[in-house]
This record gives sequence, C-alpha cells and structure tokens, in this order.
Amino acid sequence: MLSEHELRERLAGAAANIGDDDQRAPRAIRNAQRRRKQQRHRAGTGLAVAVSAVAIAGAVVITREGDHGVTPASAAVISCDPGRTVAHTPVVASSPYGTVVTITNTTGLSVRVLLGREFAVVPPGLSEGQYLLGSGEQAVQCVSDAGATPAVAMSVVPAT
Amino acid sequence: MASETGTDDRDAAFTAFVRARGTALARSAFLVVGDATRAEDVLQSAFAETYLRWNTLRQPEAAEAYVRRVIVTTNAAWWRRRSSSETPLAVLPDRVQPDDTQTVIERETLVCALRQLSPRQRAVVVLRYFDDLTERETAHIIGCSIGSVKRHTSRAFERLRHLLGTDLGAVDELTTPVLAIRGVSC
Repeated sequence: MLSEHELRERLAGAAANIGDDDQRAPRAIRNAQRRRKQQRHRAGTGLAVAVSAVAIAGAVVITREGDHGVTPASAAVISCDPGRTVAHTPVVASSPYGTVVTITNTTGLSVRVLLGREFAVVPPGLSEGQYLLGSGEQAVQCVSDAGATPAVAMSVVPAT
Repeated sequence: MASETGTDDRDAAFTAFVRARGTALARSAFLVVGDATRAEDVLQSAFAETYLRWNTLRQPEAAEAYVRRVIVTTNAAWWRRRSSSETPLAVLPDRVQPDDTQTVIERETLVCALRQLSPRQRAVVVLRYFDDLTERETAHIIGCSIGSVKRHTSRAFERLRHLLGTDLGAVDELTTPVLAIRGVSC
C-alpha cells in the first residue's frame, strides 16, 4: 500500500536529477523583455500602429458588423471593482498566441479573475497578462475572499 | 537614471529570487509537467511572467506562489491543446535508458504513473506531497475549493496506489513494462 510518506520520498527521488542552472534568471529576464516588447507592439503604442489600427478597425467593422456591430479590441480591458466586474471591451480579438488582458483591481484584495476556461490571479493595482481565450461568448468574473461578483460576458472573435 | 536604478534593483531582486528558489521550482515543474525539457520551458515562461509583475508581487512568497500558479495553468492549457491534437500510444514505445540502475527505473516508473493522472490531480499531488503546501494554499494556486483539492487528492492517491501499489511497489526492471501491459502509455 502506497503511503503518504512513501509518495513524498518517491517524488523527491524522482525530481532529484533536476539540478541548478545559473542561467534561469537572465534567460527569464530576456524572455520577459521580448514578451513586453511584443505586447507593446500588439497593443499599438506608436502612432504608426494607431493609424494602422484605425484602418484595420474600419475593415473589421465592415466584415464583422453582422456578428456584433462592434470593432473587436486588440486587448481586453477588465476592472475588478468592489462588488462588480466590468468588461470595458465587450468584443475582443483573439490570436493563436493569446489575448493581452489588462486588469485593474480596485478591491484592495487579491482577486481571481475567471476568463472563460482560463484564470488569472491578480494583486491590487494594474496587471497585464496574455491568455488563450476561446472564441465565442466568454464569462468574465472577479472572485475574491470577499465573494464572487456577478459574471459579465465578453465576446471573443478570431483576429483577422 | 532613476528608472534604470529601479530596473537594476528589480533585476537584482528577481535574480536573487530565482537563484534561491529556481531549483526547487524546476523540480516541482518537472513533476507537474512530466517531461524535463517541457518543464524547463514552462518554468521559463512562468519566470518571465513573474518578472513582468515583479513590482506588484514584491514579496518572494507571493512571487513563488505566482510561479506555481503559472506552471499549473500553463501545463493544463498545454494538456487541453495536446489532448485534441495527439493520440496516446497504446503501448510503451521502445526507448534507450540512460542506464539501468534502480534509481532510474524508480524515477521513470513514478513519472510514468504521474502522467496517468489528470493535470489537476498531478498538480495537487505535487503541491501537497512534494512542495508540502497546505490544502488551502494548494486550492489558492489551482483556483478551486479546498473540497475539490481533497477530492482530487483522494482520486489521485487511489490511481497511484493502483499503478504503484503492493504488487508493483517492489521496483525492478519489470516495473515499467508492467505499467505498459496495463494499458498505460508513458
């Protein structure tokens, strides 16, 4: 009979061959900087990107008006306020690399944000992450130790 | 200049955190993921996310919990994608063992057995019995209730006992093939 003690010992033994690696931190910093650069690029921080986005948005409105009548946002913006969840972007574009989600947590508590089948744990303040959101109506809900807020819907459409 | 100093401070604090906890987290990631190479990729992704949020996490304990959460959710997401695009093998494929010591066999057997659990069950087992987290901490990281953690733990244990139980407990060179005969692919 496998006991808890035996399981602990076998887990420790199985993982013991994973050793130190001094390069983990520098590699992670490089990856993070590259990821941030990509996120900024996607979010469209520059004027050129903004101009392109306006042009693309026009095209998207024409092609998607039948579905939603709203231009999909390139990044989702969500607020976790005391007692409520707000999706500032009712329609957001997804991509195979995930959707950038900006969450403002004003509850003063650590909040778990359910994003369809994904979730994010968000400390108070402004946070940004990238999540794989499935297409279609996704429920968004902020849950904290104070309780769950009513879920709101956010529509996710594939980016063109 | 001030911002450069801030970045330097953040880099130094983050590097110290990774140096202190990197190996333990890498081992935990290996057990959760079940593959050393992919575990290192998942860990790198988790560290990168953590670095980006370093200013809001601040405390090493919060950072460590966040890394564990990202490992668990990234692995679960990968598992969902894989389950729809890959077909498990019916039998264990031939593979070259690095050597035939008891340790290697024991490790391979346990990792193989862990892979038979669902991603969530595997995460619960690793967080509870390798990382020594409480049920509450485990529930917080996985994003479920304490009752759910208890349920996953119980089912995982039952499955592991079946795979590694009395008749398979004595590790020998037949153990892994026996798992394969039981319809388990690793």
